[in-house]
Amino acid sequence: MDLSQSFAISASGLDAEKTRLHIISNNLANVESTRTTEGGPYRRRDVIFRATPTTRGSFEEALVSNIKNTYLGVQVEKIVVDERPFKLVFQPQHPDANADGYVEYPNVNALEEMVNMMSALRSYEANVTALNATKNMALKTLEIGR
Amino acid sequence: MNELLGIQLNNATTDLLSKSLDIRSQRHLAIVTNVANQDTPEYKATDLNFKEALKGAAPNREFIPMMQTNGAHFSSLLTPPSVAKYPVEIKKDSTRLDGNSVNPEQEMAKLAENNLMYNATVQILSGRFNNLMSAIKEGR
Repeated sequence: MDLSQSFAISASGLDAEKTRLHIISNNLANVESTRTTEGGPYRRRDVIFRATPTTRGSFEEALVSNIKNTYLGVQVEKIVVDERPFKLVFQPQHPDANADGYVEYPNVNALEEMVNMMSALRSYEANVTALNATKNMALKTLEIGR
Repeated sequence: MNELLGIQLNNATTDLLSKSLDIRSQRHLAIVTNVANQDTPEYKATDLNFKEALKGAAPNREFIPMMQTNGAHFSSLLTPPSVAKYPVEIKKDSTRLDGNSVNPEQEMAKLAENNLMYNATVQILSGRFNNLMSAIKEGR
């Protein structure tokens, strides 16, 4: 039945948006982190989405969607590090201040992250609505002849 | 009597209704895919024209049913419909910088409409079976 693939695709969307939200919270939490394990201040991270055949469907479904390039789910292909320059703040008393008294703060823009978060939330909600619609249809189908 | 029941169960209306259910669920899949990929760069929205798909899937008048040489044979109409691939429309023009052509509002509206039409079709199909059941039970 096609509906099983619809479930899988909505689930892949939920999963991808959730990962995006994780990364956004990560960025927001570290908006002031001047020290990281890899050294230097925290660098902003971002997700790259990619349309991909869902693996939860049958082999045939995956094969057909791969060949015909239709009905693809979504997945986080990779998490990229933002290479924009750090914010420089004049704070001579700060232990991480350089010789000129400037401290390098993460290249995270809280405003940008909030907007990104709202967009991710809406997308997540849209996927939940789609999933509920699929469930509704599946349940309705079971009512045939009742 | 057996023949009568066969006609009731497998007539053109039931066939058309089940086909439109199939197309509705296929269109649902297309919409759900668009919703899931609304943030995927370079993804192009797809849709299914219900009318066109139904026209293509409508029972052909020149359809030749399989011969039944024995009374115990099932009618060929009882065999499940073949996996018909419905024509997919791809929306190529995008107004977004990331090349994605999904319009989330439009997709949600389509989702609701398609869902409603699916439920309506199920209800009509259900009604047909209920009529038959009522006849079997002699109206009781």
